[in-house]
Amino acid sequence: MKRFTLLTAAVLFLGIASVASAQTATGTLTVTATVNSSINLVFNNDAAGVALSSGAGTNTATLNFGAVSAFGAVAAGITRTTTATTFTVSTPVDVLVTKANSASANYTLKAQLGAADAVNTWQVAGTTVTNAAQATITATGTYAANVPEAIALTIPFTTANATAISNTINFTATAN
Amino acid sequence: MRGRFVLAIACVILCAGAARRRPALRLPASPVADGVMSFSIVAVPDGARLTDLGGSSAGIDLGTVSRVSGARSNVEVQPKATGFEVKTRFGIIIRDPAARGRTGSLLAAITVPTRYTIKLDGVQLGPAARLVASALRPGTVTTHRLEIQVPADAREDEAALLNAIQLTVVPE
Repeated sequence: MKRFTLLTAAVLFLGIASVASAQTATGTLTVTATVNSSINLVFNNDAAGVALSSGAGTNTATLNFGAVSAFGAVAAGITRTTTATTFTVSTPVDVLVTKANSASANYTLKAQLGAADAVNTWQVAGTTVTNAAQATITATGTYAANVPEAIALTIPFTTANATAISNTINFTATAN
Repeated sequence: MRGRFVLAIACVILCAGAARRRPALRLPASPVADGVMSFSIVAVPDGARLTDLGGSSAGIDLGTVSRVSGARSNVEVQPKATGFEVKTRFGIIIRDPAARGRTGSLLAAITVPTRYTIKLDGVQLGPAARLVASALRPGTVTTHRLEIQVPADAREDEAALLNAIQLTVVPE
């Protein structure tokens, strides 16, 4: 008799537990998005060059050669060459281009001066850059690698002492 | 004698239960149906726009996103070393017609296996439901953070993101 009562009680408890667990509410949040490919360019310090004054690791950096001269001492990281009428100071700056969600194999890097300079000559990786048009620096740049690009400035001997020289070089990387 | 008495009572209980359940099938607004906790997915001020899909379901379109930009308002894109993360928010409001003062727990799971990492309130979702939030009070909109990590090597042609998050609210 006792055994029968216990069995009945157990069945009732199971029934209650079943009702309680069934009281859940469900819904669905459908999530959609379209992922586009993109590339990113940053300037980094090159171990063999002059450290960037500001903006290392970003896409807006400042490079300061400091005081330069044709025949005086040359600061660390700067390479100087001279001709009969001019001298050139050069230092490498790393350009890092990364890609995301892209099947692109490489990139094209172009550069252009921000403002005209009729006196001095500006070069990136041996290619003269002006403000007139973009100059192609490389057509097969390697992604995700710090590529040293030599920034060179050629100054005539006729430039007066303590002349400040400043300009902007705009770089554009395009996925191929 | 006592054995027969207990059997008779059990029979009365079962018969009475069946008699009470029958009207509930015909009337949706029965006391039993009213007592069930339910919830809705709602937009929040700093969250992406939602599409009501009826019941407790909604759609959320994060628009076109890339490592460097997001097109939709209240859809945040954060570049990461291994790709980028898309973030937004949405709300959930629980209703408990029984008004028993109980709270609810929110569980979530994704319905489609994906290369993307999908997190809700910091909890990485998988095919099995996981507890995301607890002590949700009925009648109060709670804001939940949706994060999707897109790997950089997911190609554009395979990067159309479509998934569904199964949400379950359980009374506590």
